Amino acid sequence: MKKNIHIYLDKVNMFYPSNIYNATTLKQEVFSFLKLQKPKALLKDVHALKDLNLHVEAGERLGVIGHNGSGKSTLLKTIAGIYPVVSGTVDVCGRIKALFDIVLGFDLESTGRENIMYRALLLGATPKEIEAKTQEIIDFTELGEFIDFPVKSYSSGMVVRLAFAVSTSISGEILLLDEVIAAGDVSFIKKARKRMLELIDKAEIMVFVSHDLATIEEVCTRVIMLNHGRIVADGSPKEIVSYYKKEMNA
Amino acid sequence: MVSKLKRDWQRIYVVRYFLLNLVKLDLKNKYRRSKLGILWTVLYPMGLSAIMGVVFSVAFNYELAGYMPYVLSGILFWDLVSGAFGGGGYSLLSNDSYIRQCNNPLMMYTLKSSIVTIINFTIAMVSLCAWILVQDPLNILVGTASFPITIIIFFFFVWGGTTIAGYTCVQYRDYPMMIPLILQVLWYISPVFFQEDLFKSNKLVYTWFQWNPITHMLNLIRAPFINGVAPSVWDYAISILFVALIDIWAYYINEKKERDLIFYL
Repeated sequence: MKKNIHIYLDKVNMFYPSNIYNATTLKQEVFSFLKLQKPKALLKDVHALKDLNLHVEAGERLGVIGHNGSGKSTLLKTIAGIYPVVSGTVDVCGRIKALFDIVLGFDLESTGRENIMYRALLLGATPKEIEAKTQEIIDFTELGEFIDFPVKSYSSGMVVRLAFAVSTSISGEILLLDEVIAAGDVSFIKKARKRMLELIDKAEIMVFVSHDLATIEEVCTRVIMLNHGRIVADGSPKEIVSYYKKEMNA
Repeated sequence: MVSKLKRDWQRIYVVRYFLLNLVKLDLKNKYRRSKLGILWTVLYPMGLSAIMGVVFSVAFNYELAGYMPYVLSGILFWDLVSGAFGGGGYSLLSNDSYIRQCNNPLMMYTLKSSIVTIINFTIAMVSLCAWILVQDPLNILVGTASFPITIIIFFFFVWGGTTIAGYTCVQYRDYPMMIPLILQVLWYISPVFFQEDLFKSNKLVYTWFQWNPITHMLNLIRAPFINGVAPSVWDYAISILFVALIDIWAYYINEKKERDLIFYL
């Protein structure tokens, strides 16, 4: 039976707790007790997603826009199950493939070839699948003999190429993208973009967070705009992007 | 609780390739570009026990040949304890880049550290076996026969300890500074290097010695390998009870803290 791939968020509330940052050191406590410094100002919990309702069905390409701090990345990480919600329901059905920070988690002591294996395993591939794809990934990176050198000997551009090539080699039913659509130097960006568009085509659902409005309009079939953790607009890319631009200029 | 445990195991099974790969990577990185590589796992405790054996046998007038395997077994077990409660403190912190990207069960990262610690311990046991083969070759038979159960008990001890340490360290950053002091105290009041007769000088101290779970866990190695007899039922009972308590504590911490741990990283 075919899976009903979807993302359902109902009345979701998510908070960033402040107690972690409100903890004081012994020095601060002694100094404020002796009135040598003001007691530390206490932070409040940040209500990052507020009663958020969102239903995304198979076939949709959802763009998420909004100003910095509006809750876009938080929404993505909540869908991915990384951030816990305080109330509401998060019902996600489908194999998630999240591309948040593609260069994070590389083992610098290991070679590029070894890192292809590590990264692809992290993304849920099996060793057999990776072995079958390794040469294609290496060819795509254009790293040549550097692939058998430790990643710590790579330039930052080379690391990005490797990270991008591996991350885009494994497809998922639900693709979550945070600003990543292409990476690398000018010559690499064109083919990286093509590869990413192919990956998007393979996914049943895509949720794409970005400030790049032109790309949002190009790849998405629906866009939501977030403001202070709430969805304030939901509709076609053209309509919502133009609404967002007006809001920005207001 | 059973269904939750079952679900967690299913989630770990899904990421088994990634988990095993992390184990491999840890073992590889430990001796990367070292000439002797994994041999150090055997040579280091042997060298340390030779030094400590000579120093302590002179200081306490112990017979060196009998005391050396005693010290060596103490070193091997203590590496396990400090691996779980000391090194285990970083089991979650050092994997924060993965935790921030993937919704994998956090137990997986403490499991990874525990497997690495247990593999290192098993390899290091070769040093004790080598010593015993020279001194009392027949003891190897009893030792080998009892080792599978011992290693299972030790594994659950290490996993529980690593989980407690991992969560505590993420939440309380004083932990890495504090735990060596606590372990040092525990070392002094346990028969890691000191022999039983030293604890007999005071009744209270000797009662502690008899009830100290470390004494009994050490006996799981010492009785078969050094004395050539199977560990007593009492040794097994105290060890299993102690490990069960550690594991229940670890399970409770994992249940309570897993959800919000991401905010502490």
